[in-house]
Amino acid sequence: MKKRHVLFLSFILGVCLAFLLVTYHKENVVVVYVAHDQDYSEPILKEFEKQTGIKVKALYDTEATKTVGLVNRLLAEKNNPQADVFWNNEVMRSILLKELGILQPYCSPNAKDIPEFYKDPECYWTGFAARARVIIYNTEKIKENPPTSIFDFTDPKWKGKACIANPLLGTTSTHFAALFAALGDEKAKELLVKMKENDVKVVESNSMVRDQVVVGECWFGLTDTDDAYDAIREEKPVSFVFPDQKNEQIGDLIIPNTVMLIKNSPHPENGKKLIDFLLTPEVEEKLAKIALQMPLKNSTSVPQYVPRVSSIKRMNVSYYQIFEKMNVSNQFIQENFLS
Amino acid sequence: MSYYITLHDVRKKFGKIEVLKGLSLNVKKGEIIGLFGPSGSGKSTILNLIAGLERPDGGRITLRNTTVASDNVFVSPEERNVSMVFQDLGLWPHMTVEEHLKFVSDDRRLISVVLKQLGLEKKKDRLPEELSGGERQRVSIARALTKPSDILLLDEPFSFLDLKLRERVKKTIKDYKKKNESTVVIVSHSVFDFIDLCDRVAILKDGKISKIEKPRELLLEFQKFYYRKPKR
Amino acid sequence: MESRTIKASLIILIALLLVLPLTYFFLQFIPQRIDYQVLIFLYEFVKFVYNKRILKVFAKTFFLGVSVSLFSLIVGFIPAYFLEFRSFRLKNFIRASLFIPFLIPPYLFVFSWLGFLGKRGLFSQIHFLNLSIDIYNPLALIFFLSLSFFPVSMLFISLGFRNITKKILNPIKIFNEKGFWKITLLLLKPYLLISFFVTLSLFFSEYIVPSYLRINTYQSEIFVQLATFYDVRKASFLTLPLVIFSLIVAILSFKVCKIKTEIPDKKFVPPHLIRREKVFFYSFTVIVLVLSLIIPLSVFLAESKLDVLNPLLETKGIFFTSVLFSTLISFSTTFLSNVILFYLRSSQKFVNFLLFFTLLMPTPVLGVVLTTFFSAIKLNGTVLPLIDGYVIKFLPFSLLFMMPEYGKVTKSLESSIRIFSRGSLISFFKIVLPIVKEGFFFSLITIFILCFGEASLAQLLLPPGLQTISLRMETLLHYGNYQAVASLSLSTVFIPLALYSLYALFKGVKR
Repeated sequence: MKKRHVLFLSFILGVCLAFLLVTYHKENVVVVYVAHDQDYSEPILKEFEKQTGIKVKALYDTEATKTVGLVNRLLAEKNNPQADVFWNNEVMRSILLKELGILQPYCSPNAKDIPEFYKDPECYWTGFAARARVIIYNTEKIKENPPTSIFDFTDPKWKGKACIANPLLGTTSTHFAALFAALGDEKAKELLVKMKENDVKVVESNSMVRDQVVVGECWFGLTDTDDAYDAIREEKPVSFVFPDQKNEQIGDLIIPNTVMLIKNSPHPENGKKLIDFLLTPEVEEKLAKIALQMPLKNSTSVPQYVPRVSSIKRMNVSYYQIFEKMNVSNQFIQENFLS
Repeated sequence: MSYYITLHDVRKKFGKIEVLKGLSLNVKKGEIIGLFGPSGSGKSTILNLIAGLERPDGGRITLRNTTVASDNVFVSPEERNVSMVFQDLGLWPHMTVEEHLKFVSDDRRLISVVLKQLGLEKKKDRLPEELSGGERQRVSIARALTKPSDILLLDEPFSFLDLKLRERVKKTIKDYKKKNESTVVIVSHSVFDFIDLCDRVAILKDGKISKIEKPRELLLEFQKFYYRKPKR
Repeated sequence: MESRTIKASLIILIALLLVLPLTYFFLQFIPQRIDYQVLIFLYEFVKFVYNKRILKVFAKTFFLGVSVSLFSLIVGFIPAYFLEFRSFRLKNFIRASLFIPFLIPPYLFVFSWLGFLGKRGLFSQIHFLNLSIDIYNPLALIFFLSLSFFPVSMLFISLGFRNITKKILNPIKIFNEKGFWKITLLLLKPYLLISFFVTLSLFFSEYIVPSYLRINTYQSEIFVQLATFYDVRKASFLTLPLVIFSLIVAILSFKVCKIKTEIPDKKFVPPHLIRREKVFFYSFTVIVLVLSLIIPLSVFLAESKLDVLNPLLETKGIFFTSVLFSTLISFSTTFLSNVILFYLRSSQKFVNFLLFFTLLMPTPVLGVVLTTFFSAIKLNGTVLPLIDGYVIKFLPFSLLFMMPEYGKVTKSLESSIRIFSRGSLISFFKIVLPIVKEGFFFSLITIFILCFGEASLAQLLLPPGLQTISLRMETLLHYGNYQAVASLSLSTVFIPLALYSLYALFKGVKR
């Protein structure tokens, strides 16, 4: 082998080693997979770094690939987990990960004052800083008597004027599964069929629902509190209501962020510290101010414009009941609603 | 007697057409042998088989007393150390004349000599597309002569050359042969090329060597053919 | 280095990069015991594959894909012909302008059109521009994706046109001028067919644009299996028809690329445009540029509020990571494809066949395959899975681009290389690569752009702590931070454009 070949091969080897070194560099680190919006979560993680000196290596999700990326990655990495913590922005995938044996229970001391409803009884996941489903409407198109119930999506007077996000993904899929749990399969299917007949438009995401309502392409739609709040903060001509709040109605779906420890993770102790940090009132306060995420702890102080979770009539179904309906709901939606 | 190049009962098919049907040929060391025959008789094929650019379907080929092709053996062209002038020249379109030769040899002196001998000195910085047909052929020859090899294969090397150039090139080839003690196999349609260069000429017919003659004997046969009385 | 050593190394590399991860992954689907579970497995498979709804979606998607490919081919063919066979002013400028739409990822292209058509309130405030065109339909999908992909067809067919030299044209002029298209199209066949397949493959990789336009496609069905049902097995089942189609593409490409071509003729000076050609060509170019470039760039400029620098500076680290990865991948993939086409040409059918396995494989599925494999060998968390993922995703594209170019390496050239070779690597670098250099650069640039805009593989395979610009842009888009998205889109267009302008200034693009 000639000298220049040896040199060339050595160079290639050197580059590869450098790459590996960069990624295997041992330091005080915690790896977190974050489904929560990067713009909101990143400052909080940086604060954790500052306070503890533990370097945070985060992997964020994009809304386009929402939960395809991180959850499938966690499942595929089962043999050699990279993540220590998963910061999810909803509950269903947390339950799925628990069922598939990806999680390790951890009862954080900071979780004691979180209501039981919003955490796993065996400490596999813990909820904090919640969103709720809302009906956002354009105030120029709808000047009075806005829709206030999920059933208004089937009202013929609103034919072709409503939109929802893809009901197979994200919080919308959870919402529909919750309807199956709350109403029963038959009534839920009937609701979906009527929505389809009423030409409810399906758009890419919750933020797109918001955007369509803002420009008046849709008069109203189903989205989450943080998306709706973004539009209100920018003084767009929209408002929102929590659906089905009357006594005889089914109530609204509350969706907390959830945080959990990954089984056999490389840095479990640092992972626990991060979980403890995320479950502090300070984090809930921050998320309340920047993203209108409602605190679950009573001790968290929030601005006046941020509603308390207790002020919203909640659907009378547990997250585990909703989880059991996910497959039924998704199958029906795929085969009947979206086809 | 051991021969430098031997083809023993070589067969070669292209698709359904059998071009060589059990051809045998022995070439002595230092000999210049010509291959003569009608178009499609397999002359270029023989050169390609010797060079290793084609694989025989049967038979055996040896070079320098070593089997290079048989049922079980095949030595690649890179390992046979032969030099060759191709019928369609095979020049590299992006390389100048000089670059062609530099690619083959590091001997600057030799390159300079070959360029001079073939009248390409003034054209050494030109690309193939900037040369005439004859000039390109000379480049192809120059490239072959720059590679020091004891086996030289020439496939119609003079087809684009005028008489004067032919003489010049033939002289260069003879010098090369002498210097490298080369064994040369040459394909041509011109009897005079054989007379000027070859020790023997093999005549191909029906996929085999029908006879091997001295060049002058071949010329006499040609004369008989050309000066025969036409049939009424 | 002996060519045998190189061949052996290549085969080992292909085995490591591709065969091993795929085999490991698919082995997991095989039932561990031969019992009733096998029957259930087979029953489930058949029931799933022969689902009427799925078959309908597949047929519809295939039809859409073929339409996009054909339309891109036609739109790309016309400028390719004029750029190679006619002389006119500002030729290089027009050539570059027509290529720019490819720098805009399809989802951003549609995003710009949604803004233009008033769907986000941008131009709807200008009343006369408030066009109530319904773009949420398959025709719109064909329209947008064709405009997005046509530059690839255009440039690739241009390469084919360049091989039509005076050697071919002069006899046509003498013997039958009307026979021009008959002969030319035959010689262009490899380029036309491969353009078609490349565009079709790009279409099947695209699931964000159909979802924006509310169209359910086959690739969305696969995506849903992962995103909603977390059923990797079903997602893999659905991938099988696409894999089979990839292999058909491979066979057809090899057959067609056996045509030997000429080396481009540098002395060829095309004639000038005649009057009616001028009218046609310029009108055509203006229309295409307006639809594919002016409108999107205008929307980006308007939405960015002319603040291009700040978003770029905020994401400079991410930008740099993306550029680094894309450069590394485009070079390594292009180089690897050339080495494979040269050294493995005798075993082309088998080895290269294998390499096309992943051509149409959806990136989320590929990502899961590789994550599973690299986790098993404890190498996830490094950059190796991502590099592997990008290489095996884009290698088939590079092979497709290079295959017709290797038609220039005629038997005669190959013979002379073998006779006068002073080492196969030297021959490869000094003789073969210069001959195919146009295809080489084309592959480099195209793979760079494809890699730069790729998000779903990155999502699944990036080591924690790193991010790519495409991921960032998709996220910003969905938060509704349109200003940042528009600014970054302008950067992704203008930076390569600036580089190309520098290159054109120094080197000068001929013909």
